[in-house]
Amino acid sequence: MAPILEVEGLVKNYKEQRAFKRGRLGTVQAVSGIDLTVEAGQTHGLVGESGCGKSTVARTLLRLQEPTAGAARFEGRDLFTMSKSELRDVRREIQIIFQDPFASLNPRMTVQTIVSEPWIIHEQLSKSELDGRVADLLGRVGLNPEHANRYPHQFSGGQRQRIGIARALALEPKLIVCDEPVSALDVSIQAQVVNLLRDIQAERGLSYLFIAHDLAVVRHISDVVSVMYLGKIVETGSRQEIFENAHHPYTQALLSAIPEPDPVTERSRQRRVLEGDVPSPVDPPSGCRFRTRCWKATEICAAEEPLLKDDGIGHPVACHHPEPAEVALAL
Amino acid sequence: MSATRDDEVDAGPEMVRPRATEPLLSVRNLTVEFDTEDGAVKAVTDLSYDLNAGETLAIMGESGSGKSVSVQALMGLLPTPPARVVAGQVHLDGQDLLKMPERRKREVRGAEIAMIFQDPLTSLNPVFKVGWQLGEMVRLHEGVSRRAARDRAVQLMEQVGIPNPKQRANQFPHQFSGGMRQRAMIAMALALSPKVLVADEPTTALDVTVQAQIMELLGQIQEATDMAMILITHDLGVVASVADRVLVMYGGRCVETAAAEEFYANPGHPYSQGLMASVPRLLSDIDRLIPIDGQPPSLINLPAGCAFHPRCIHANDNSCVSERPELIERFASDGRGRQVACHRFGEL
Repeated sequence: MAPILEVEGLVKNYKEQRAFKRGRLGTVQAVSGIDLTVEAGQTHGLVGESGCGKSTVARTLLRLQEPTAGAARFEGRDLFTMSKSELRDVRREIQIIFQDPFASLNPRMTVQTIVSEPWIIHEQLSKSELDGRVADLLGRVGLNPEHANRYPHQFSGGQRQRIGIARALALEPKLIVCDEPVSALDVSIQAQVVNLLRDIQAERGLSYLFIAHDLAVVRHISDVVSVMYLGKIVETGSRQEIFENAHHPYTQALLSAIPEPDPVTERSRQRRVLEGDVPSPVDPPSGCRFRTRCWKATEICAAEEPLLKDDGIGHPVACHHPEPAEVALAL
Repeated sequence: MSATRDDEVDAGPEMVRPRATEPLLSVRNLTVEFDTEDGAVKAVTDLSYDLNAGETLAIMGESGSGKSVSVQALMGLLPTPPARVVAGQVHLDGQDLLKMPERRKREVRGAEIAMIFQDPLTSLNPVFKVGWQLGEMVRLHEGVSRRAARDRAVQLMEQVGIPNPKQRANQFPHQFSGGMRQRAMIAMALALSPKVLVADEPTTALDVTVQAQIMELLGQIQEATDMAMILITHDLGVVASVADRVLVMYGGRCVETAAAEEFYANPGHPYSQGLMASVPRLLSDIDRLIPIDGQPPSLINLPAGCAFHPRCIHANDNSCVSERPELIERFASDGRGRQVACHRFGEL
């Protein structure tokens, strides 16, 4: 299997912004050198809590924001160095689905216009051809084709997310970056959209970079999972490895923090509750960025940054003290 | 650092006291409507439940199911108009919250029943220091001096695990992280040791590791004070980890209520069953999620018969479409019964 996307050393820094500019403005280190590979036809789940930089990864890959450093090869071509016109071509093949189906659809455009806009930009099609294609596509994502002339506000959240998916599918892309596509949806609707994404993948063989904070959803949809903390990937591996053989203390804490919908399991489960908050990305801790909240941290953790590497565990972990989770936590 | 929830293990003899025959909080036939241009929105219809001291009741439902409105009504927080409490009684320790004059309500709110909200940033006043806001509550209700109120604020902040409470009391809400703000809200809610805490999606806006901190804190407080809690949430996992009883709302009505273990082991209403089948699990692989088809109903124009029938895989063409199912006691294994509103219960 060939990788469709290879990211190497991606860095994105922002200038700090403050309402009242007093003192020197720092640099927000949103993403600090991450490597990531998406295999063709697979789903790579990228998880982390708010502020860890996962959405910044999505936005820089599509060059909605310019990266500070690094390379991202899509089928061998570097997305970060290509010209505007090359980028325009390649954007046919990489699409994005956003989290908020209320903010990402233009309220003044009908569904027909929203979904057909990619074709108008990239292909010359007659009106009747367009109508036919829109109807097909709406039908595919489970919307009534007769509703093509409605506006976004006439749809519910789940239906709007389907419109977003239809728009992303219009140009038959090879890779879709899904940035928290189901987290704004109600539970019963989430499952509809997750199933839709999986069915489309099975049909068309496309690849997903699936960014989310909900680990249960990520477990369900991903082949490979990477866990981010404060701008870095701390652990990466197959779904099985991450969910059943996590070695990084942060991954373990994250997994243990999530309650399972089963009171019997919950009562017997021990919980590793992390103390404190995520440090500011303006001034991240030295060495291991997780050390300020880690119960295993020692001197070396402050002095030396742990590298993301596989020391015979079976998958890469960035930790000086990698260990399997205690049995009670893994339950 | 790590904590276990062991509810019953340490119950010494002093914990075993006879249950009062009267529940602490009793809600009966609560019905709330909103007047809109398009007609009356039946946000909550005929909702009844009881809550005992030390108990946690989870009210579950999707957006628009009426779960938040139902607790805002009993807190007296609904803007009237457009909202109207059309019917119902809410008895807290024998007094009817809905009938008392506004002055008395203000005394009861905070002192006997308090509330925390989903978004702690919008529930704290951005232009006052956090310590001042906490102290104000104590000053208004207990008439203590400013200095005493301030000291109490610092003490409360310490109690909910806010580090450096003295300095933190002098900061504004925007200087707090999301988790710290929610702790500050909890401190405010607990200031007067209420008997009931209403938590409306208290962790929905927070990250999971912070959610775990907040739920652990609420659990510890509850254990120490025997406070009762109503937890409004849509998260089946959070409910499983803390709730004693579960109440599921759909289209403004209660469709099922049961003890938590029983509810999860054997959900009775097709909607509850649908919810269980549609969530992915963290600890195991599921081949395929089984979603509930369609959309939640509009509260202006609820479907005839059972409000869930257009989405229900078990709906028949007779009673389900024509007649609203009553919430009926099905069987009682925990003494207080399990109620399900479904025509086809028992046939399936």
